Amino acid sequence: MKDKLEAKDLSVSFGTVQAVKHVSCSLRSNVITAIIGPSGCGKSTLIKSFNRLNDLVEGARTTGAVLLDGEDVYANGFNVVELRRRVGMVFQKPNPFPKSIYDNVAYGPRIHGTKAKAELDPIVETSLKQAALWDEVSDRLTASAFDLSGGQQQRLCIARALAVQPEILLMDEPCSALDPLATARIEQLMVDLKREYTVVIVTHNMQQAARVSDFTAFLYLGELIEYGPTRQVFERPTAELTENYLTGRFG
Amino acid sequence: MPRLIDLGLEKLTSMIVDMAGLAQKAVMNAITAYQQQDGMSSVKILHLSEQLRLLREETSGLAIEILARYQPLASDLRFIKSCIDIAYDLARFGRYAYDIALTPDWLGDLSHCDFTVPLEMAQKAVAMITKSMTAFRTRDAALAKTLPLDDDIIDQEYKDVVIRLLQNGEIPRECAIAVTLLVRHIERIADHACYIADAVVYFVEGERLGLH
Repeated sequence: MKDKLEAKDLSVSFGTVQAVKHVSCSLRSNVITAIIGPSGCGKSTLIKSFNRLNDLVEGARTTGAVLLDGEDVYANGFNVVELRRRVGMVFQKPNPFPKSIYDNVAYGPRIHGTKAKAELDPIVETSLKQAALWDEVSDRLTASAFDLSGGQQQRLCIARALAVQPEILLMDEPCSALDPLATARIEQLMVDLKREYTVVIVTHNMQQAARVSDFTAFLYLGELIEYGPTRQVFERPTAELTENYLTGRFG
Repeated sequence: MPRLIDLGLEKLTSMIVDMAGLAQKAVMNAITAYQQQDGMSSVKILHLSEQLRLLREETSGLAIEILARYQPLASDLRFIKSCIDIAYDLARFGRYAYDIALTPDWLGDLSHCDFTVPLEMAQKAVAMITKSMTAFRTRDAALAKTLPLDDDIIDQEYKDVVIRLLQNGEIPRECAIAVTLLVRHIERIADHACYIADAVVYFVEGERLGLH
């Protein structure tokens, strides 16, 4: 397993508030890395710094480096549009576009220049299959994405992210709005996807992190407290803060 | 603020302590019965052994319930795993005590046999049970780590006894068999006291003693 993404002394501030403090860690290729920690600890900010989504927030300031395959994504001249193709994102609430199922998935490839239906059709089919949604929607691709259930909409969003052939998939609490069955499908999907993609998931659900992830990072007040193989972190954490968080002895 | 899981963990602890009391009683009774040639003891010890078996099932049931309800992690998870293991070890003490008590029933009158060394070993094994349970109650990993040294002594004594019996052809056959069985059961009791110590070190420190 090689390192796919590396944060080096990464800090992110919004105005005077420092949300991420001097985080350094390497995320390995083709594994699922879970980022856990209490609300407001900087989990979402950290993963949004991986594809420079924080740049869109006024007053955001990032220092340090994020290396994608060894290249600093914050270096002058780095192609941010291409970065966001390579590092896709799925958000907490399913957010399909007000378009058909087909057009949701085809949206990204079209933006990147693939216009012909003959080229788009296989991309849409493959992406929906990878997102384990094809069997449920193949006969109604022109239907509105809003006709789908919450779990299906989230898988559609995953298909949409996959359609532009990313290398890393960032998932920010992707199951928090879903019922247990839909959650189980997304979790199974994550495990399937890691064969081809590097997956980073932010979750409040420690059991979910334990179920799906290979590595776990624990953040507290913007600092990376512990990072290691999930079994080790959840069974034998080395930091007292991690132990207290995992056992509910916080505060 | 106490956590919901704490109630379950306290109950689990209390069940293990209760089991330890029964297990020590069973082993002590079995050894006393050997000393006193009490033929009725095996029935009483069978009853204790059965109680231990049932308590082990209850302990496992409670442990599973806590896992299902609270999905614990870190030291809580390790403690529950250790309690499941320790409950098994304590139930084994009951079984070995019963096996010890049964031997006079099988072999008949053993009043002419010399049990001095095995009974000294038995006292050491009982002391190991006490020590392992003290380590459990006080979460004392350092104390638990001394158990393998005690076990080494019992192991050596076990080998010495068996070799002496092999070399001394004048010992009556029933005595040789009775002593061999007794030291074997004692040696296993000492092993299980070590396993308890291992479980204590695991839940306190997250490491294993590396027993073989």
